[in-house]
Amino acid sequence: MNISWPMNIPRTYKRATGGYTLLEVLIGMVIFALGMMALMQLQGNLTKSSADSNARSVAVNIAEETIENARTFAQVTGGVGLNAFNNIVSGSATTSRGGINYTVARVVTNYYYQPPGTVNGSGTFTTTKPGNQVNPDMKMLQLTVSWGSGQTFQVDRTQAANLGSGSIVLTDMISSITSPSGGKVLTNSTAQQLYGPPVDYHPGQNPDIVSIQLGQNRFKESTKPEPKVYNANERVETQFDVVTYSQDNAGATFLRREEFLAVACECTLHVPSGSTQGGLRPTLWNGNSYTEGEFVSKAYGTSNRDNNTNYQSEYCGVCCSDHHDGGTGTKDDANDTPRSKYNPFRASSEYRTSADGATGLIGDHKHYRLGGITLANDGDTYYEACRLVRKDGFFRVAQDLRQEALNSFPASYLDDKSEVGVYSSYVTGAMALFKAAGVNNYEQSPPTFRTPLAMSPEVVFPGSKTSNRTALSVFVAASSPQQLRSRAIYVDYLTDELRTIISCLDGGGSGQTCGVGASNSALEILPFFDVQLTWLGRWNESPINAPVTVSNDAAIATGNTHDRGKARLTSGSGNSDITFKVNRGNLGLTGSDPIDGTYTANTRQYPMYALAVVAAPPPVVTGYNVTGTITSNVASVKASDVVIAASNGAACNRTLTGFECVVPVSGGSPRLTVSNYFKKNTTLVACSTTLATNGVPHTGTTVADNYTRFDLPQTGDVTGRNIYIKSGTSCP
Amino acid sequence: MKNLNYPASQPAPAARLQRGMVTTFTGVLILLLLTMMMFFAMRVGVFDQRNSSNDMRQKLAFHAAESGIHHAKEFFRANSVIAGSPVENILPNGTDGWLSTAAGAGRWLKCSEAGLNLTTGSGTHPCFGEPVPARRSTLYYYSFGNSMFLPIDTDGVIPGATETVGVQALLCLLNVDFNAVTPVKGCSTNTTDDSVAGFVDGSYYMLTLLARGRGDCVGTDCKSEALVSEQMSNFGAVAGGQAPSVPLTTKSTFPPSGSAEVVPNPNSGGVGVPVSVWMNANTSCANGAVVDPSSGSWATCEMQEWYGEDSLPADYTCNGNCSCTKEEALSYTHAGDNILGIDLVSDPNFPCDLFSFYFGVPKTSYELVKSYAKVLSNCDTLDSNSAGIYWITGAECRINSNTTVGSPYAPVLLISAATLTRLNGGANIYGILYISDAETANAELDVNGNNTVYGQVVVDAKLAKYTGTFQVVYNENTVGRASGGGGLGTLIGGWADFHPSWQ
Repeated sequence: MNISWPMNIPRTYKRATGGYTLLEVLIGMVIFALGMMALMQLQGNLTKSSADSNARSVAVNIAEETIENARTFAQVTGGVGLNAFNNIVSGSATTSRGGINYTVARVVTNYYYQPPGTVNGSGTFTTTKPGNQVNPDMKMLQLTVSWGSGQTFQVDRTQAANLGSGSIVLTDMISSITSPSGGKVLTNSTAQQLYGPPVDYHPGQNPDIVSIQLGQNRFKESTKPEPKVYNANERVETQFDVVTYSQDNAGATFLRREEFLAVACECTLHVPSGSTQGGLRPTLWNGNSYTEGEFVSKAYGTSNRDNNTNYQSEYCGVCCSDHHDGGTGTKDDANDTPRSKYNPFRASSEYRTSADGATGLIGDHKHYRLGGITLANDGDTYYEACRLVRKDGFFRVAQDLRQEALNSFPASYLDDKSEVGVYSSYVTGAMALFKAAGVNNYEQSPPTFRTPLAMSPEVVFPGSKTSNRTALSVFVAASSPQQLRSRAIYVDYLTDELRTIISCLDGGGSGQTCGVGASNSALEILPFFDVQLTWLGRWNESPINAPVTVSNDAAIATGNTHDRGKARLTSGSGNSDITFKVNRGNLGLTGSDPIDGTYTANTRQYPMYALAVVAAPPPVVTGYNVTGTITSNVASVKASDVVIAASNGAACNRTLTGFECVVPVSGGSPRLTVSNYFKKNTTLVACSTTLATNGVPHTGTTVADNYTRFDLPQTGDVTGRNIYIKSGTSCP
Repeated sequence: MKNLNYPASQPAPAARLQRGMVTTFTGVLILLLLTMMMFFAMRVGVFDQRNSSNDMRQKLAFHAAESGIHHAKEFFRANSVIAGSPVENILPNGTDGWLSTAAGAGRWLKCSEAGLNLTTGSGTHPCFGEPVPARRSTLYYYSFGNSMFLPIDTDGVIPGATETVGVQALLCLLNVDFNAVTPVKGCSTNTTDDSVAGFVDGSYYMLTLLARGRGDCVGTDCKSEALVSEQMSNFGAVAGGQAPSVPLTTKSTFPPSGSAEVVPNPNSGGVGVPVSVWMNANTSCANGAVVDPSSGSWATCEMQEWYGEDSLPADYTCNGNCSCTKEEALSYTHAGDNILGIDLVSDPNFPCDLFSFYFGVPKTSYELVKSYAKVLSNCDTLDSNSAGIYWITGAECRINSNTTVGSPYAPVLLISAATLTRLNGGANIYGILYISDAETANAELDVNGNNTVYGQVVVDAKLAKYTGTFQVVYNENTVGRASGGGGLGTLIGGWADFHPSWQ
């Protein structure tokens, strides 16, 4: 068996056909295969690692989705079908993405706020649940997303790899603030517009309460002012409301209510000793509401209220304290100085200057001691009258009342709608003219509020002219007196601020654009009010007591039960000129004694011409006139409440500040009796230096004890027969 | 077998071996090429890994920042009443508002005084977190105890030491004009003039929370960072609804069996139109209308008369004997007297779902309102330092004798949905007491002894029983604060992870 190559085969052929030995190839293949195997394994690992990386990304996404999902709760406690904060609890879930199963393990830890242990410290969050807290404030959500090994990861459509196991951990905190709270934030800006339920208003009855028509279905009326007398003869407060209301088919609804109070007070004057002593500037109407004045250091007063000897209004505290001018406020307006004064129309001579001494009082208006003549200085008792307005539940001192018009009416007037209409259009018409006539800082030359007769065309109320005397015969009998009524129109000072709003409204602007909300007409925001003063002023008639007498009782406790303005037929027949007189300022409402020398000059009267019996001649007045004042020298005793009675042929009227009598030329020993003066625990007596006392003055400590009779002179017309009240049992 | 030898003429075996090396070499070369290819493929794989781990690292930083934001949200919510207030000693325990100027109390500093170029600058200072440069000068930034970071330990809460987060905050006191078409007029740093801010005590504010999260940290060396901000604002639970501006609202029982005194809101029905009680006279409501008020023993009078003082005390609290006398009363019913004044409003249009009217969500969705509140299972822990919104659930909310709840400048909105709410005498509550029958139809209010609420009481429940003297004194400040604040919510669209100037 010779298997060797044949000798004759050419060498070249032998070379060409020499080839590799099997061994060589085998070795080469083994090495290649080993290499390839390693590469294949690497390839597999790469595929697997790419699969792992993908799985990790997916796991992170799952974790984030879980967190996002957990955060989308609308409320804390669960409801049906609603995601809730409290539903975020520990647990696990399996989810499948791309054929791979992931396990999501949630570990939830609740955190609760623990308030700081120290003042101004910072609280912390702990896992300890406070005893009564129901829900945690915050949760920590720790997510472990894991995937198991051996799962087939499809690299692409044809290639697959086996996944190794792995997991990721993601932690987040979840606050219990719900998603709808974002919506609450947006609506919060309107939250302060609280809902005021509409309040029904029941308009008053004619003729006591008269409604002024403001247009646009809006009306304004004032309640009957009721003086409240604290004790016979002592200080008084008079309250009335001015109501603006709208009226529709369902009835009337309040729009605005201004609660006013006029008080007369006895105060003690103080000079400020530091910047913390002083009072408020006047509370002003700005078209929307009353704005409280700024506190400034200035002269101030304190109320002399005392429960034993001096009953006066509890509201005298603010009246005495604030009703002073002077000082410098940061909000004072140099272009509108009257707005900072309690009476913008007060004469410059009525302010304290260096000539008066007492430097701390310079700039304040003059205050007077009892009687209105002697200036009050630091520590002195003085007399004051304020108009208060309720601002946010508390009375504040507003600027003094300023009466612009006064009218009186017979009883039969203003009790039907058409008459109310005539009166209302007079008021609104005259108000419109007044508003137009006023200019800025108009206190120097205030416009005149037109009287009805000065209107064009003139407005004629019954009895307003001698040519249309009102006939009283039908009603007047001793048994059925006729109640006359008197109404006054007050207009407050119009500040520059208010005038701007008024001209904006008059220029066609809406309430919204002019800054006064729903009030669209100037009439609605003008600070004017029409008030019935029947029971506050004095009614006198001429001739005195015949043929007509009009009642004039002293104000008594409450309810307007005192008698004023009731015309009675006494004797005879003919003309009677009935005059209603009242102070134009605060004192007109309190009905109390003068507090300064301007009282008489600041008094307005309205004559009403009556005819007691149609076509009969007026009675012939025979006799002498005797007049005088009645004043009080005793603190807190009000002379205006002193009552007079005439006897033995005299006929007397109580006037605003005193009396007027007619006495026969001769015979009858005419007398005047004064009574109704009283002060608790004090003995009082009425005296006169010009009238002789008839008999012994009756003195005592009750109202009934006190009366004094004076003889009236029959020596011709005399004036200045003054009477005064003093303490003690006898006259000097 | 001896002929198996190669012929002598054939090449030497060494040369033949050389030829085999070529094969091996070629194979190795191919392998080398393939290895290099694999190497590059591996690099792609590593890149892939790095990518995903960087992503993960970034996610960790981001979630650390998010955790910080959420932690901070709760921190501010817990302090929402004092966070925007300049009032010193706002809580009776002596805690000051965070805008207070008292030493060691203030937590906000003005951005305008931080020495920064606010308009064109940028940096890590929180004031740059406000995206609108012009607004930055009207903001405050949080700074307390030499740190501009909030005192919240988010790192200590999150397990794992490789993430850190610091949260800073900006405060905008909102300048609100309710009469304007757009009420919010921007931010203000004026804390004293109530004509500028909504309220003097900063009732409306907005917060910007700025969180800087870091991931994969070794010490201070962190490999990833994420900046996240979110805006929040405070609100009242009543937002969206309409709180009546009256001291006592009742859908069921009035008058009381004991004696009550109600001090009206002096301007509820318009300027100067007081309202004391708003009563259900709507006969179409399921449980019918309130009984008529002309019995019992009660009185209403205005503040000056009730307090017996010339102005409202600074702490709104009665100093001595406060009561309504017959002479001063607006309404007065006692023995033979039966004076019903304008301040009693018997409303035929009273809302049957008072809860919905008040809170703006139907009673059936009360959980929404409950979510704004701190929910307690009883009233035992409430005291004068409690402030904000509380919801009481369960059997009983008992305010123990001589307990004060809330305070004048940090009042409570106490919504009691407990079956029985009982005031046990001598209790003073500042704010709003809302008795709700949302959770149990038989909810009732039971007032024993002399208790005073300075603010508002709403009886949205089946029954109210009164013995002793129950005084409800309206106070627009406590009602305003309790109804307009206490809640804190996130502003829609207020989340951002892009900050042009904050780095």
